[in-house]
Amino acid sequence: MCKWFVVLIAAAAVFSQLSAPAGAQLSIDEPPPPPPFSMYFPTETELAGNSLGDFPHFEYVAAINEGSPVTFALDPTRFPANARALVDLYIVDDRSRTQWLSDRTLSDVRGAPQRVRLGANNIQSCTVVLTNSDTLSGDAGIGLGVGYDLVCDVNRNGRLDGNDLIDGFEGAAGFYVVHDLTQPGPLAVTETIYDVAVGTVTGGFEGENLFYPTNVSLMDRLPLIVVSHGNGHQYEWYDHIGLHMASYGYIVMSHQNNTVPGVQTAATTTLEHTDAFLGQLASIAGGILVGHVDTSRIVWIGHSRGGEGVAIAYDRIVDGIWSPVHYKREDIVLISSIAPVDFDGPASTNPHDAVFSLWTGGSDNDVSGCASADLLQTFHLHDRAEKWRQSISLHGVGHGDFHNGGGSSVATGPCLVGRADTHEIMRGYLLPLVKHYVERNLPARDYLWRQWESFQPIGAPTANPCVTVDLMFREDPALSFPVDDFQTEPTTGTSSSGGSVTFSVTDVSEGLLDDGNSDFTNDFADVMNGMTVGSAADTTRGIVFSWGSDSFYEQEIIPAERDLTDDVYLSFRACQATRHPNTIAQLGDLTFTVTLVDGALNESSIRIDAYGGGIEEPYARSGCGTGTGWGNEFETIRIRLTDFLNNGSSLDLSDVAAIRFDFGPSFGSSLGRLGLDEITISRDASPPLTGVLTLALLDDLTVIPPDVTTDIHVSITASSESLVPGSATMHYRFNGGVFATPPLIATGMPGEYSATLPAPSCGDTPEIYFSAEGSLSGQQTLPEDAPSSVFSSLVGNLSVNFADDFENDQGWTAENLGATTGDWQRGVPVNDPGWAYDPAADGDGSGSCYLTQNQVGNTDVDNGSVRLNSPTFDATGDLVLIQYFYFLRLTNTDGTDRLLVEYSSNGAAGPWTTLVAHQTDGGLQWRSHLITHEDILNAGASLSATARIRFTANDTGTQSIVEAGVDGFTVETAQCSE
Amino acid sequence: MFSLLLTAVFSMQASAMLPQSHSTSPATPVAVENVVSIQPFELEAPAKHLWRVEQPMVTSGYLLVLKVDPALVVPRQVAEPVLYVGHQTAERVNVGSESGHVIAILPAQIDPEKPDYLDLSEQLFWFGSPELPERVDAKRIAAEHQEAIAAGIRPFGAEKIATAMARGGLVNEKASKRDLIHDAMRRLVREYSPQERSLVEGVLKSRPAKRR
Repeated sequence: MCKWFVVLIAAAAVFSQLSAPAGAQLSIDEPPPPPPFSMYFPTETELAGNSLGDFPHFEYVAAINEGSPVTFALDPTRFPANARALVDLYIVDDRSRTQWLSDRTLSDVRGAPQRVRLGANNIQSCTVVLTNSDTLSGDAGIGLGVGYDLVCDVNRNGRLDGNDLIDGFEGAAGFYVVHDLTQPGPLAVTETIYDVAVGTVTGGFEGENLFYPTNVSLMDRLPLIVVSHGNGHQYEWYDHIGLHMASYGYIVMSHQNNTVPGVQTAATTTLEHTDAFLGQLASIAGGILVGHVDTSRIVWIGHSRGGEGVAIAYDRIVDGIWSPVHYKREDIVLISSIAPVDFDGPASTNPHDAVFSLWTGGSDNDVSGCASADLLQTFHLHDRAEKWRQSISLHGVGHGDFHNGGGSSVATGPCLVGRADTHEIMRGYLLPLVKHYVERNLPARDYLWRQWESFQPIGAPTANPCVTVDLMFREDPALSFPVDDFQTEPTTGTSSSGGSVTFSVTDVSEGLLDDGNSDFTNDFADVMNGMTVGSAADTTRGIVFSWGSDSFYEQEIIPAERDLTDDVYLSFRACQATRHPNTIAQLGDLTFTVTLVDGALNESSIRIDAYGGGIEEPYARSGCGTGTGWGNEFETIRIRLTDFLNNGSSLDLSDVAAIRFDFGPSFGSSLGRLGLDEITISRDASPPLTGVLTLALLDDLTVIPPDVTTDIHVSITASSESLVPGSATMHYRFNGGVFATPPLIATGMPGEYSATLPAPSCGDTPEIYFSAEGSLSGQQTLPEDAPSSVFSSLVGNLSVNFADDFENDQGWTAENLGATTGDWQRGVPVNDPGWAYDPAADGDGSGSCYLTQNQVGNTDVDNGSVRLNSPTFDATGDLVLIQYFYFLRLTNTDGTDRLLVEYSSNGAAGPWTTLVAHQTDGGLQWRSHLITHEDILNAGASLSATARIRFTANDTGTQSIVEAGVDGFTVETAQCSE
Repeated sequence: MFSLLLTAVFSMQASAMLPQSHSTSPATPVAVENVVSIQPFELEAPAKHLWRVEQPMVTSGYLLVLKVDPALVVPRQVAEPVLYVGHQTAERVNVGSESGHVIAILPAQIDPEKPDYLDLSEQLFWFGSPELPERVDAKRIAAEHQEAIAAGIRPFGAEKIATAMARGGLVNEKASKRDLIHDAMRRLVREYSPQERSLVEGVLKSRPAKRR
């Protein structure tokens, strides 16, 4: 309270020195409007969402279902300047940042803005249901979500300016109104059945069932969805997918699948049909699809054996066993497996880096999920996906419910959902699934993780009491911070990120998330009872524990990662342990409290059921041992980090020291047994997108010369959309401040644009980024997360101090440190056809390079180390860039074997400082690496005119393959003088 | 009597409501119940036999119509009992779980003059243990064969085979495996497993194209 008083006094002091705007009406109970000073940018923050009964009292969301009201909320404790303010709230048609900057006029789609006075105490006092917002249109045509920006016009001048708050300034809209996703889209659909050419696919399996928008000839290139059926199923049993998705602008091809011999033959038919379809467009459906299929955006959907088949198909491409003709690995933008089997395990059935989604039916009486056999457990495939992955589990749904071939649901268990309602759920979730991963549609993402209990597609069969939906959602771990994924540091006292872990919960075990025996019968010795996300051959790990009274489980966040101000969500997945006495005693959604603790020991806590729903109890199915309750179903919980700040929590998000989970009667469910995994700080990243406009920099901006202008060139590839005219822009600034925005002008070369950078001076620190708008995807930037990231340049003149392509001897020396084989040798790679671990050629194209024992046969490094020493070079200047190509083939990637790169500022005498340790296997590819002066200085070494580098390859411990190479070594430096 | 009848009717209804058990199949090895029809075939274009690890090329064989226990051929995503004839896996063309008739392609030498001629009167016809056929190799087939013999499974004998061959007719010469499968669908599946009309129409594309 005192704090707000101080703020108000301070504000009043400022106001007293400024004149009120002309015509302003002041009164004693109405604070004066803020002064008319014009800051350039408004404040962007989340404003739109839904109110909640409990803390944090509000959830900011991207998607609002059509017909539901939109609610505005602003926490006055986070925005004290707006406490008690009289403001106008505008719902405005979504505008891009560029559009806002060119037209700041506020125009409410409801006809008039809504004037409200904000409260001062808490977010509840600043929560406003927006009148008539439940009438906003969600008709996005073939899209998903109509975007609106929500503006809090603080100075009530009808313009967006620096005083105002906006949800939807940069990039995405403030919120999206979404129509009923279970209903067909606006496009008429044509369906046809035909054979592809004999000999192009497995004999006897030529049939394809095609769905496409009838007016496809008038449309751009459309993404392709390939459907691969399961065993005993038919390719004509997926009309519910084909008709629905084609009505939204997708081409859907379901093909005959050779599933009876097995999953490998199924994979073959998926690969064959995808190529046959793309290669024979001229003879399919009268050639109407020629020029209208986007081969860079392909979705594979497989059911049961076909569901495993699509993962195997991708694995074959990754492994180089199969080479598609008409598409590439990266064109497979989503793999979706419906109730897949897992016959062939992680070596073959592996989605690798593909975006992966999984559908599982809890009543499946075929791929049952029972612990009795690995091949029955669908979740294995999900947990093998290395990057983005998503899962939807449906209680009461059988194996046959996912197709529309009629006949048995192949279901067992209580409260069966049935085929009709299953298809409603499929339509309602498949559309956002594909829209998000194929088009990066943002509101679609909400449907992939928000708890079913509080949010689902409009037409979802919520009246059916049997419908229970559990969702898992994970972003690429490389783009987030996994606080603890339990994959390393197997002791319960340390997280995988290195933080300490403390707890008072009981019966704690970390380990492989795989049931320890062949049934779900409760067995206290089987600590992972009910877990089916991994097999014995998998590596997915997590933790389980119990409680029966108030207890906690706390993870320290390591110091380097405590600033969460750039992050968006705290995310984790959790499940109940089936048939455990605590689970049976609870028999309902499990709830608990999550607390963030900062470095000053300020805390903020949120109960997970504040958002609706908790951790679902296992499906009440019997069998697979004694007792009731099916496999443990993980659900992902994501909590917006700023929610912890509400109502003056005093939490410092720039210094979060710990995450604590509190259990027990004071914090949620009084008792329980929980599986916990993937505790992650998320930036809410989207997967990279293919088929949309992309920008690429054609010039090297590392160093820019002083006192002259520089033409900077960018290529813009429109892909499957078109570039919005006039939208291509360069953004630059030399020493902070506002970015200048000259347009990028077409140079006349295809796809090439340029803009001129004014002459910088020595000491300037230019920052540059680029933007352009795609007709479908909206604004794209380079770098992708600009302006958070920009190209930073040094002003100076670059010169090459040392370069060696190893065509001649420039003084490098080889040294043996005890290895029995693998000495460094300079020469043209022998490319031994009998040795699968050596490179086919050198790295820089000159011909020669340094390799570890460049001879035929098994000549890798064994039983020790070999070292390659550079000659002395000059590494002084304002900027130093050391670049090289390296080849590294490792069969042991646990970090023991590596290519160590060390630096000395004192010639051969040292001391030597480690700059980098390459310890990942690069296959047969050369890779490049750049070391900068900052890397050298940060490592504690100094820049020097007598510098040296040395490369050391080692094979230590258990002998394995270590083949290394170095090529194209250059040292560049830059200085600046006016 | 009335109560007994009522009980029987109720039991039948209850039975019909029981979920179809897909995760288990009958114990194996179990013999094919009868060989109904056998027709030799020859292919102009060799085709891979994908139903075993070795994937041999096929240019001839027998098109079989077999009477089987329907429970053995209920489609499952999990491993199903593998159909063997002699030392070869047979490729099932249809499902057969409703009719109890399986139409299958058996790769074989059909020329009696050739040393590797397969005399069906001396061969066992049986379902072996559940597995994906693509994972079955010669060693596994030999082991399954031994188990079949141990289980008392015997060849059908010359008379039964001759009758089936008479019913099957002369050598069926086809340009490709696809043509053979389509022929099998057109004639044999329609005749012996008419419940699978949808499968046949789908394979033969005999359903009219739809416009919606």
